[in-house]
Amino acid sequence: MPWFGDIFIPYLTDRDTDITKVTIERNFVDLPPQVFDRNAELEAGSYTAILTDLYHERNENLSEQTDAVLSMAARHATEFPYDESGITGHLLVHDPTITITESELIRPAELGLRFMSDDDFIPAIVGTADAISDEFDASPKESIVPIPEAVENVSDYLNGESITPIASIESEEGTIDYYLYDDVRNVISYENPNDDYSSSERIGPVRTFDADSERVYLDLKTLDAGTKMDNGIVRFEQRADVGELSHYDDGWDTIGETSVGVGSEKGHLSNIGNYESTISFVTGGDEYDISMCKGFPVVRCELDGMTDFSFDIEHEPLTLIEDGGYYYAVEDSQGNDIVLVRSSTDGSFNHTDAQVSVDGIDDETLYTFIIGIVPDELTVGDFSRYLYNQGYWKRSLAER
Amino acid sequence: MLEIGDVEIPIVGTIEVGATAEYEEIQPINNDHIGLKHEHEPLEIAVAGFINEHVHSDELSLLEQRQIIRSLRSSDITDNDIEILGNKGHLLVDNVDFTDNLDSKIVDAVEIEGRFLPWPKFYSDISLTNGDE
Repeated sequence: MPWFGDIFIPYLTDRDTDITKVTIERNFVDLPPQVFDRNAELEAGSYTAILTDLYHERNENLSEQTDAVLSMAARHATEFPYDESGITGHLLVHDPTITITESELIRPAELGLRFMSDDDFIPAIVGTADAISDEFDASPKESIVPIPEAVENVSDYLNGESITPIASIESEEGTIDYYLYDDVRNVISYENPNDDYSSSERIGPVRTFDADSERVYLDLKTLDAGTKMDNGIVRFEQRADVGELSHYDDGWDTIGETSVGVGSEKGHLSNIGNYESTISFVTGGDEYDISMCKGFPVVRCELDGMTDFSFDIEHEPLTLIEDGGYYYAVEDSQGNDIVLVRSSTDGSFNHTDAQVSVDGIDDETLYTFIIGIVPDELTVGDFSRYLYNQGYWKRSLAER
Repeated sequence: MLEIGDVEIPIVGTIEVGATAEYEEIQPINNDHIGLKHEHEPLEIAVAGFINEHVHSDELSLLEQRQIIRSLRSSDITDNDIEILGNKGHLLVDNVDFTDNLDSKIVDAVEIEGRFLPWPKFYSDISLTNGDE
């Protein structure tokens, strides 16, 4: 009963793969025939599985399991480390199929895939720092990428040198390390641990749940008020009138609420991935996207149609720590450093005993706001700069 | 029973759902092959069912049911709203196949193939008739 990264499939009944190698034979007039081998193609085939809610490690129902399997076509192969019966590597699933029959107990599934052996490929993350906007100078242009502490041999893939994290943070499922990258393309590779090859994908991935607390893996489901995102460090529940942010610190604690509600608007999962996911609410007249990243104790809101953006703090009173121009940091009465990062010079930061806000923005302009907790091991200024310069992450499988 | 817009499929046997992402394999001369997976495409759906006079809610004849189901191929996608696996959206119908069952005058097999465009990712400005919207 294997884990495919963060996806659990109750029963795998068959594995049918093969490796094709093209051989070319050439005849010559004055020489004996020569045979040439091309490089072998990637191992290809299909896995056959059974979905059932009679047995599931997370008690997911058939609908959730179906959503999970279909989402494998939309997810990167690095999300599916697989280790079973001595077969170790990553699965590039490009053709999952599920059959719904009259049975309400089981659903057969088939995964068309390519297998990327651990002998030939290692997982990597390509990070390129870039500013959210050019309205502020948040130099040096650097950011951090989170990688679970459980992995091994984290290295700069291009020069082969081992790299060390600059800080770490505790999530509900384990420790996550932060590795620095800059605005030149950085390729950071790592190795999944032999004793639990797929576990790194279950440490702090971004998980989305609908209003009924059912897991959402793909863009099929209609999302509305009550939708939640969770990365094991922060949890964001988007309600009709506000968005509630909670933080994990040996238990979940509400930090505060954003002023943005969705009313009766509907949305969908527009960006799908363990490292970053986005929910887009699209049926109202205004733009509103909520994004969360693995390992970051923040939520990012991209929106228009507002004249101010505010965050009401749960544990008042709060005191100002720093106004950095593009970021505003306060400390609540529990000692949490809370930061609000903005993308535009429009409006101005403000705070009261119980609220931090950006007031006086244009309701026809699209803005990005990032709100959350500053990790203990990072300064307010550095963390804000990393958020502002996060740029682009791209997962990859690099050749050994 | 399954409803596609105003069209009723009285009896549904199986529904096959597939998500496909186009795959390419690059074959460098001196290196291992590289696999590339592109963006996933809209869900492919194949519904295998039966038309039947007695079960149809409007008791349409087999001929009438055939005609109305065949019209799915030419109808506007925004008329083909559907709820499938609990998800709401529209169905772009690619193919409708009927199997003449000479043993029966009251039931015929039908297979409908198409692509499911989930709502509100697609056509968010349109209300759905099948479902809460």
